[in-house]
Amino acid sequence: MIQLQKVTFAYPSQIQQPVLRRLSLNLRMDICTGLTGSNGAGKTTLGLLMMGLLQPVDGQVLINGKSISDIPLHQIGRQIGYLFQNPRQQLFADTVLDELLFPFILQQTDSAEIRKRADKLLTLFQLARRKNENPLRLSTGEQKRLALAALMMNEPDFLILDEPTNSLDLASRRVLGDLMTERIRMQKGLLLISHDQPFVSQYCQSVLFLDDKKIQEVACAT
Amino acid sequence: MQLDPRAKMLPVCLLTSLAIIRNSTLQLLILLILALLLSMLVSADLSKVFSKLRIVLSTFLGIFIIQLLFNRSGEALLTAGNRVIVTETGLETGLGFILRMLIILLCGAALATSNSQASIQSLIQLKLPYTLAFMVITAISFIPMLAREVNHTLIALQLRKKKKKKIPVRQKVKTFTYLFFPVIMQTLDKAQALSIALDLRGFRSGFMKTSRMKLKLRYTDWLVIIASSLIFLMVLLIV
Ligand SMILES: Nc1ncnc2c1ncn2[C@@H]1O[C@H](COP(=O)(O)OP(=O)(O)OP(=O)(O)O)[C@@H](O)[C@H]1O
Ligand SMILES: [Mg+2]
Repeated sequence: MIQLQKVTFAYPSQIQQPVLRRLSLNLRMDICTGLTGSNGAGKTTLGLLMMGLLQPVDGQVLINGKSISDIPLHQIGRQIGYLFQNPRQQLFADTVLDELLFPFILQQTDSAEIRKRADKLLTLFQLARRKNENPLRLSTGEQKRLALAALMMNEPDFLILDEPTNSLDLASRRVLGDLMTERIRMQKGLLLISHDQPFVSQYCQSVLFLDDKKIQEVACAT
Repeated sequence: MQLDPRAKMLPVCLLTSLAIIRNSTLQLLILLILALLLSMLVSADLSKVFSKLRIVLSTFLGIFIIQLLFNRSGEALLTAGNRVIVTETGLETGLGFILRMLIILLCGAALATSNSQASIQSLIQLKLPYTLAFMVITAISFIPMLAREVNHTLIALQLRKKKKKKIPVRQKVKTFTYLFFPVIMQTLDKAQALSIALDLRGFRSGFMKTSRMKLKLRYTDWLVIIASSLIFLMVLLIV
């Protein structure tokens, strides 16, 4: 469970105008929740707060009852996979394959099993042919798929995906949708930040609507 | 030959710093030959590097010609009637500039034969803290750019001063600090972004070991340490 308790957040440059004001929210980690709202409503900000990449000005964020400020980022990273709205922000390696393997190589936990997992993910996300390409030379949609594949390497319990379907073609959307269905079956949930109404209503069990610094639960499908 | 990044870094550091300190054309020529040998040793793809940097190279050539034609001090080497066309000092500074740039380029090409991950990994195996390793690697990727900018500015300054040959040290240091601060900030930003991306993937980079709240302090700490050592180094090299 990710809990927000009366969280107020403002960017330092606009400290007088908080993006979120006294926002409380309980987010289940075993189901798929959609998050929608107009541009600039603060969806990305909310996602970054849940990941501990931003600190609230007031209130607190808890993951499974533990205050997020007490958990080091790499531990959060092992538990929760985060897809940035702009995938370039999270790509760092020189080749597509290294993008998946490098953290493991550094940790010296690289193994035959890890390599097999990487190959499987590259095939799933249709990147196997581009294995040795520089990630920054991929198209935007391919970069998004690569970022997704990379964060699946850790087999995280929960995912926060910021606009994952943006610039994905139909086939890739289906791959992502299948992946989500599979995760829901395993009771590993995710938060889907998206303007993509059809996609959200097809795959999410619950939808949140963020507007005017408040949050509303709008729909509850099965 | 496949060399460990650590083995490359030492000769590269030596060659580039000597290239900046030394002035005589002969010494620079020897350094250039050494740099060439090094890049051949690690089988750097020189034709690729040079074709990529064609524009940069032609800029170098342009600067060389400007130096050659506009530097009026020293004995005349080439005259047309009464007019001096090329002077000894002009040729010397021009050659010095081009040799230096070539040495730095070759060293860059030699380093580029191992990718940034291999370099990070090798530094970590040297027991360097992750934070520092990220910074060193991102900083290295800025060196060619920095060298270029510093040189352009210095030459622009030199061309403006007609009478005195030397630029006062104060002015030089000022120029360097103008150029260095944006570069340091960029390096820190890049190093931090890299470490956050790695942390998000479950790797403990050590950039924010205790608490992310304390990041600000550590950030400025590093800034001061790096900036002061760079400025110290520069003053040392100029005077
Ligand atoms: N780094 C920043 N510094 C200052 N203000 C920011 C920063 N990032 C976002 N903002 C502001 O915070 C508000 C919320 O931004 P956020 O990116 O969270 O919106 P969003 O709901 O994700 O929008 P979109 O649908 O366009 O992705 C916006 O008004 C934006 O201008
Ligand atoms: Mg957003």
